[in-house]
Amino acid sequence: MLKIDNLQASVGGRKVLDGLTLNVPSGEVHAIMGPNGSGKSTLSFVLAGRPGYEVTGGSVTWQGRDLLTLAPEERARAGLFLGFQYPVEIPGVNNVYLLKAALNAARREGGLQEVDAFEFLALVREKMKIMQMDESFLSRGVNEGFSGGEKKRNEVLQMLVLEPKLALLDETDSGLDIDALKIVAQGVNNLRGPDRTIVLITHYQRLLAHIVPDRVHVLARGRIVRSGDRSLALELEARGYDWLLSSAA
Amino acid sequence: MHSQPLTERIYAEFDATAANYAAAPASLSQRRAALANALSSGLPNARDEGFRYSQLRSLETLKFSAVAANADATRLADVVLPPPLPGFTRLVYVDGRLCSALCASDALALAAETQSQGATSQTSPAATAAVKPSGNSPAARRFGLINAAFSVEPLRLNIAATLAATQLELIFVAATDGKAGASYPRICVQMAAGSNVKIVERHLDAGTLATFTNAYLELALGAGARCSHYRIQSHERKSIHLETIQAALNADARLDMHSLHVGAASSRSTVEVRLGGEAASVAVYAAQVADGSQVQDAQVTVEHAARAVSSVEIYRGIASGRARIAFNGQMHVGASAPGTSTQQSLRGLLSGPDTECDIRPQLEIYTDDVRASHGATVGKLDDNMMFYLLSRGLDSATAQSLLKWAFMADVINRIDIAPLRRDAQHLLLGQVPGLSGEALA
Repeated sequence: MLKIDNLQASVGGRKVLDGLTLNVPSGEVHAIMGPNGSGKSTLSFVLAGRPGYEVTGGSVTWQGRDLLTLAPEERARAGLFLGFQYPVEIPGVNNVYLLKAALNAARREGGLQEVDAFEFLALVREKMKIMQMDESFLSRGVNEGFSGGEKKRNEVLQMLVLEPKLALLDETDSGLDIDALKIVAQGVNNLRGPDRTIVLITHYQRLLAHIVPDRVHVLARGRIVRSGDRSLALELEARGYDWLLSSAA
Repeated sequence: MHSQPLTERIYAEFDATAANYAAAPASLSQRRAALANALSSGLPNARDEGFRYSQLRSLETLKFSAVAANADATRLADVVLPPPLPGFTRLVYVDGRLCSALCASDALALAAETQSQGATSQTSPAATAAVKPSGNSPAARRFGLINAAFSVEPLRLNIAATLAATQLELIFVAATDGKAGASYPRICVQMAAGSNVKIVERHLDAGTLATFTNAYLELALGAGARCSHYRIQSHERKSIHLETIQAALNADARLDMHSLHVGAASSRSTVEVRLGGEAASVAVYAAQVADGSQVQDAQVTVEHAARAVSSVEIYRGIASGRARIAFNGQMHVGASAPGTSTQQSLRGLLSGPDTECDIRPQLEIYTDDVRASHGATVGKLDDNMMFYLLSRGLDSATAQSLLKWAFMADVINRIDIAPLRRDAQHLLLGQVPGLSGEALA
């Protein structure tokens, strides 16, 4: 269970999250929608521990731990995964090395043995098949020269390999064509399970046609202003956000 | 300027050991002339603008005369050579002298041919004529002139046009304390039209003494010649390394220069390239990594002096600890060089609060018809990249090491000799703790 209570956070001295409360039980997929500037990406960065995002109030509890006291790498090793809206390119660093280093860091944390090269390659190949990615991606620099769609696929590939307990996907659907959207959705659906929590941040209902959420929340002015089932996403698609913003004001 | 006693001492050391340098008297007079030319206005020091970052004070304590032959045979036991490069002829020099015990027989045959041309004629007339970059401070060449005075076994190569490229690996080992003598590697390469050569130079130490090396390389490329030059400097961190490279290119010639400097307490590289023939081109890929109190300083001057010539210069440097790195890239485009294309990408990375980095892209253009681009940055590790790696569970030290590696890859990955590239990568890995070879894309 991810439990966010009255979370307040600032970026560069500007308050962005203003009393956000949200509970996401294990095994569920929740979608967070909202207009531009409402604080969606800030929420994902605060949860992942990005420096520069200052928590000024409230709490976040996950698996019974105070998430906010952990360093970013500790959160990752504990099973939190952030799929970036804009994955960075790191030329010169091998994609497969990063994947293996990330997986082994998490395994060490969990008291498991590191995977050997043979085991690891078998695992990655299986996941790449799901994401319909060519093996040549592995030997390239991290996201180096990837198209926007390839970067998003690579994010989901990393997620599939790491099998996180809590996945935060920040606009993973942006910049994807229909076919790529289906592949990414397939990857996410593959990960669904009773002991996993997935939070999808998205602008559009179209992703939710492929990944059916258990709950949909609307984030506006730094807090959740409406929650509902999938039909809320359809309503937002039809009516936009204004009606919610005026009622939340 | 260094103190008068230093220049007097250098003269005195030359006179005291003159008998070692050449059999022919003519050579001796040439050497004396070179030394006089070098020392007439003193040696450069930190007050000279082009040497602000060179750590030259230690020269006061070093001996300039060349290490005597057979000074200490036991020093060979400390020489650890890297594995040979497949397909390359390897020559090993110890303290500036060819070491037959460390060379294969075919390599020795080549060396015998070059040595038979004698120490007296160290520079071919054609090359001398070609290698006259203009507009540069003579100060930059003083160490090259001192090399001309003191070098004991210069390697002179005449590269003929053949179907296959000539491939040479030259290893210069410094094995004597710098207070007892200096090592003067000297290579003069004359390339015929259409010839092709790959020259790998490695500069390293035997043992852990604080050595003193002053190297010189001269390249004269005939029309259409292709030269790829690779230099890896990995001296011990107490040593002093000076080097001078002068290159001249005729029409359609191409020169690719790769360098990696990771060693020495102080390393100074002076490079002058003259693109004197139409459509000649040069690419300079330079990397410096300095830690502790190391100083790495390079000045690269490219003179564009003919139509449609082109140059590319890519530099990456990392300073950690209290280290200082400096790269001065001077591009002169003369009125005689319309249609010139020149690009510079110079980047320094400061990895610590006490580091210093000085990067200067300098363009002087005297023609309207030129395409010139340059970018120079000095900064710290990219926060976005850092967070990305941390968010994948990597610890901070490993993430930093990976990003340092990624930063250098622009230069190192251009080394097109796979085993040499791996050697360079492993040298870098030694400088970037916490990283394994698997990381390298």
